[in-house]
Amino acid sequence: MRLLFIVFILTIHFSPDYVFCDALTQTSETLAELKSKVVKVTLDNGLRVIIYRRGFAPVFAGSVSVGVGGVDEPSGKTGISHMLEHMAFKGTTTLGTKNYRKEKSLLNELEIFMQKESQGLELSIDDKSKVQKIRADLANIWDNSSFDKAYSNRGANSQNATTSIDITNYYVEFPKSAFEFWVWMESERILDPVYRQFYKERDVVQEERRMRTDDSPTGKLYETFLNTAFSIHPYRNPVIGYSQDVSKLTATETREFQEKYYQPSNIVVSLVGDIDIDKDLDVVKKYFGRLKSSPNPPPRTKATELEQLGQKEVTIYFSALPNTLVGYKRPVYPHKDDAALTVMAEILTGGNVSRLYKKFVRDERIASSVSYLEAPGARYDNLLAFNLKPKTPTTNDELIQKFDKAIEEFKKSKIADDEMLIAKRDIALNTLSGLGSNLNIANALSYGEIIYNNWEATVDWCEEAFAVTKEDVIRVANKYLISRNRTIAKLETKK
Amino acid sequence: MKNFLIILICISFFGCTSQTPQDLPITPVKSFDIPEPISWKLENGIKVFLMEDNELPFVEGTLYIRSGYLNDSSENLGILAAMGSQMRNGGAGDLTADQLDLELEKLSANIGSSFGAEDGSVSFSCLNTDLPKVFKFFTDVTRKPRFQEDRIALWKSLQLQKIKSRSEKSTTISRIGFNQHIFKGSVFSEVTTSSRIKGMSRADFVRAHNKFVRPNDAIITLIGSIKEHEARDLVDKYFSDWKPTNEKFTLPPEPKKSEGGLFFIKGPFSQSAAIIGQTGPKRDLDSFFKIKLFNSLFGFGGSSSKLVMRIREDLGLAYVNYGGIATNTVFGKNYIVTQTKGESVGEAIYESLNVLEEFQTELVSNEALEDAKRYAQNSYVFLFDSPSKIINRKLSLILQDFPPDFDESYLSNLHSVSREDIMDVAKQSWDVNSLVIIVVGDDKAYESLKAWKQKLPPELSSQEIQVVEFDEKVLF
Repeated sequence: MRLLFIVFILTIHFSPDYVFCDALTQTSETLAELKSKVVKVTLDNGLRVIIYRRGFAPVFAGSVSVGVGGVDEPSGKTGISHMLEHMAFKGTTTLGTKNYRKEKSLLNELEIFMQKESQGLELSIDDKSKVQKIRADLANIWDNSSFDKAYSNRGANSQNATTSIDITNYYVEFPKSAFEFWVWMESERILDPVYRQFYKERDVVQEERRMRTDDSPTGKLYETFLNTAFSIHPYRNPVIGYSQDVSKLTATETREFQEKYYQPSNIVVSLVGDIDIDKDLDVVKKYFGRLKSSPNPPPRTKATELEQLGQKEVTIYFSALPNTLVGYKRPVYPHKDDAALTVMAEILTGGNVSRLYKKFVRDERIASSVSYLEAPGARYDNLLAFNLKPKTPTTNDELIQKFDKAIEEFKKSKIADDEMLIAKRDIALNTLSGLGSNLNIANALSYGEIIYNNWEATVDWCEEAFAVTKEDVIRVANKYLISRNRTIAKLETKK
Repeated sequence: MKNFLIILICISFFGCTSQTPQDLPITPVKSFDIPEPISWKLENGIKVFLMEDNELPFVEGTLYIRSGYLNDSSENLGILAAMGSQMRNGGAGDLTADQLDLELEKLSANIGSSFGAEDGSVSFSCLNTDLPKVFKFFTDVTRKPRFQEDRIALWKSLQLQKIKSRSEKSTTISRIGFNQHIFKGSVFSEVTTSSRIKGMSRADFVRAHNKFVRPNDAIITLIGSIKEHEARDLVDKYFSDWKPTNEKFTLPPEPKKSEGGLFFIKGPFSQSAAIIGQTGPKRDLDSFFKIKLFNSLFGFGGSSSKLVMRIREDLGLAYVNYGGIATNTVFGKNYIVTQTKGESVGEAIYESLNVLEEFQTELVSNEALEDAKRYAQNSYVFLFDSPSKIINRKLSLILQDFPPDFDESYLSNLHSVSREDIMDVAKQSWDVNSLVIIVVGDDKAYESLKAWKQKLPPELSSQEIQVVEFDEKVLF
């Protein structure tokens, strides 16, 4: 588990190995102070609000996170949570239209035709001309830029949204003077959205997919890797969706999906910066309090990944240099091995004095880079993957062979004091460095709260990371870095 | 202490009469005191800016060097940038490269170095308790890099691998080709090739370091948990004996106005990358606000800008689409970038040029211009909302040779831009007669470009599409 920032309280007992304990203590104190200032409030409807006041300027960062992502999508509907995220920028019944009543009726008419088309039925010539007419009428009613302008006119900074396999997050920075507007607008996006230009936006998403996956060697390798590693769990699916699924998504089913998942108990609002805890919380209650709680909690996947009985391997061919992902199935936090696996991965490939970087990149010069990732999400058991990029003329297979040998040696080796120290300090410093930005903090608070139902879980994780011993590292290496448990995805150069 | 200027101008966009939340008025950004950095100058010319901030136990610092590869002769192209990256990686002072790597990793401290077109920098970040140690390493990297041969060899081998991967992305190919074409025959057009990398030696790096890394007009910024006396002691100890040099650096002449053309580079991409553009105006204080607002209205303003609204929102043709004018000290460039499926690249180009033509022939609406101003004004606070941003703002004004009181009149200058000014920028900076269009894509992209070419302005439609190859760079 690696987060944008990880708050921890250092409760480990310092052994003589911790020669830099002063720095860690200092870090710990800073973070403990931060922790004492974070306030979490749950509204009557179940929506959670997390507030942290900091800074000197009259600005704040706001993040609205929803516990929904690719992992929640039904089969054949991959990409629907991402499509929904795009729709959240299209306005509401009062923003983005010149005449909502007329627009609504036209959108309903259009939807009938588009549903037909999505089911694979061919529209008649007459139907097609009707669709054309509806679109022309809608274009006259729409005020496409009004949603964006409402934000930009008030000085919105870094406004964006992301959808991942586990979570959807909408975020922005604003001058404090726009606070009430932002709270109102964000609640309106959920309460009263209009899926304008849904079918045009579907084309835009297809372009996004071409850029991120279809034409991207690393994107295609990653998609194939996950698809191979997981047999039935939805972690096997791409967040952006398969092209054929996206092309069939309809506005109606996207709205139904939104109703299931965008309920207050599944939403976290984080506010960081110039925030008056009492006064501003009242504003949040006033607007987000309007969201109705649902008797049905958001459905979660019941799929349990099949036990892997042997190594899986897949090769794709692409006009690109060779590249490999070697991934091992592993448990995620709160499993006790999660932190040890991260520390182990840091020791192996975490920086330019890590074992595999020194060996493959610096000394033997058979790789252009080695790195690790923990993917695709954190709600369910995931993969610890090593990305190995062979350097010409080394091949994927040669590098994998060397990697295997190095891992076997690692399992039998002794971990040096410096290696443990560097890995843990890297975790601490990366954590701390994220604390200088309102937006980073807001996003991280929301993430922790959505994934673990308690943002302070990140504190506990860090405690565990700092308590990891050399023996733990060797133990998890022997337990998880085994061929039966792994998937190799190779990208070979297309001739 | 400077009082925040935004309070001076109050705009109420929606008016205050309505009670519905949608009509929540745009209220002015609250006034606040912007902390002022402490600054002083050393005898050798180094200016220091310090901003103490004790929120986190961190310190970060940067030394900016006021020269870049534009100051070097064209036959040395690529060397200064390479040297910049190797200052940190090749060992420094008493430490070998391996020792320096290990020491920094043990402290989880970062030191980085790089050189660009007009300036270079060496920067560090560390916990405040490690500052004395890390500041010494930072100084050694700046003043006493070792340029170890084995690290240069490693760097070269990685660079050669990187060059091999250039053809993997349509956007990389189009960007390289665009710069090559518009800056043809000048130092700006050069692309680092494998033969150039192979030809570099340690002696080249030592020469470049001796010549360009100097205290003349250099700037050190320090931000974080550091007291003034600590900062003064460290800077004095490590930098006050650094002697300036007498050599005067010059900049190359402004590149010639680029020529137009239609180029196609075939590649196995389902999504094509298109760039339309040409050489543009260089940076200039008089035109700064006009170009800033033009960019916001035209294609750098996200969904609020007309280009993005047309290509992405209205037509659904692209996920990535933007355009505008980028200015620099000696050169500028105008460009429109679109990534779209092969079948629609011709249409995307055609529509992009229509948007440009609209800016050249029609005044933007009052409402659009006021919206752009509101955005610039209300987001202005984000240049000053953290100690590092306050320092960076000061620094960027110095590096761009803008006057120190630039921010005093920022908002009034912004508001003085008229609709006619926006049209003037579009007309004077963009010349449809000399636009170059570069498309990288598959056969469908070629067919689309061919089909839509006839609809382009006469200067472009009369041209043949030239099919060119790519091998490390575009073979025009």
